[in-house]
Amino acid sequence: MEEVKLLGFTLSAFSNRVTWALKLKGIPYEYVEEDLSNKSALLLQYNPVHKKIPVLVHGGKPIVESLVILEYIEETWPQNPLLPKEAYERAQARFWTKFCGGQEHEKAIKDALEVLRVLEEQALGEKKFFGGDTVGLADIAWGWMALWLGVMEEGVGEKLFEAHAFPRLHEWMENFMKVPAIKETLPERNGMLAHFKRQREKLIASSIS
Amino acid sequence: MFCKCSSSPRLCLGSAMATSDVKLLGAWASPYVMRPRIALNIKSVSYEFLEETFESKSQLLLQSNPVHKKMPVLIHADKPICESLIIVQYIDEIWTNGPSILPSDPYDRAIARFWAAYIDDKWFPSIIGITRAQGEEAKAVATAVAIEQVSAGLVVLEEAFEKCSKGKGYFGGEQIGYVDIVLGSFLGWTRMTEKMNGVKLIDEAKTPGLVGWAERFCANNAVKEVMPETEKLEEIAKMIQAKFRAPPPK
Repeated sequence: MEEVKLLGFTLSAFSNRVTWALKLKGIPYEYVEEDLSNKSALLLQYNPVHKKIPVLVHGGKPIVESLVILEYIEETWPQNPLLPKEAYERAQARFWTKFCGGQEHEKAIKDALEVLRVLEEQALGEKKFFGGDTVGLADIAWGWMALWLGVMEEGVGEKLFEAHAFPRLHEWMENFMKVPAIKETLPERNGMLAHFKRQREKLIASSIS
Repeated sequence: MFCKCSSSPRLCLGSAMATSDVKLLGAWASPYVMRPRIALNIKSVSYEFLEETFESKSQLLLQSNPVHKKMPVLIHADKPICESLIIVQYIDEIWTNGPSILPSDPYDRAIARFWAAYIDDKWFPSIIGITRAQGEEAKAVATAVAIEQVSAGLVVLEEAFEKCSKGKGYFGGEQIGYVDIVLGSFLGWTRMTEKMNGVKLIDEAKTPGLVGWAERFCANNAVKEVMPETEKLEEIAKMIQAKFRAPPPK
């Protein structure tokens, strides 16, 4: 089997998506943590257009953009599928995956709550995961929210996302974090909290000046 | 409200995979709507084109795409599919008898998806930048900057074309493929921007490959009847600019 390498950053939502997909499918890989303030020559060589992580390298060939990487992983290693077989259901899964887009934790709270409402009512419905009984692409794409919301709430010091207002999403988050492949790769919470506080301070400082 | 393109649903060429069960909600001027139309043409699938007006959204659109309320929406056997690229992939997966739109090799597919994301997320917004710059007061500088960005992006795409086409006529090789559809659907707006600003964006000097590709693409049978005329796009662009420039209501 050809060698798989991942250039990533443990606190990046996009990087974690790829880690989760690889773990869920049981694909062995070499992980390289990038210093984003001092990008490696390898990263710049593999992603000359965007110069960003994550980059998946398979048999020496680079694939970039987290959602593109996820589709590539799904097509190359079909075990533990992340997408349904049926074309219409695939289209639905891709829609919810894309809906996530580049959502980062800095996005305005009001927007975030609207998005959560749509997810709660339309995307999740009665299912355990967005992908049905098992984790799918959309769960991976949204999984970051499961982590960051708790961190954000602690960092900001208020509850942003009430369990009683979004019962299904809360349950989904708990279930997602219990999945073994996810649980074993969760970044350390204190590290995430410190990172969030730093980012928030930068944001506040730049809006004042 | 203004004249619609006289596009009638393409007649089925008698192939087995045509269905009467396929509808597309869209507008003739939208590059995103053009994409599924090209894809359906490639597969020789006949469909009913339900034209949306520029001003208001139909009930069917609001019902079929409640999340984004945007076109295009493909309705196949009464089931809606939204987002132009998701629709094109769906068409490719359902109608497997026709020519393939995405490559078969997973790595080549990843490359195609990469360029599609680049075009949609990076390059096309830079074209909008030119139109927006026109509406601002400091327009000369803003326009020049915007044009420079678009040109730089086109040089990147020229390189991509050379690598993907491998000497053939399209990004997809011998036939129109995914990236051709994604970039080609923006040609109408690109030409309109060139005309309105008196610049050449896709030019012989910097992007000769793309010049030939653009001609080939627009002349292709799957594309010809759905490519909007530059003059008609100009009318719309002027309307949009007028809206931007109009003083805010009191």
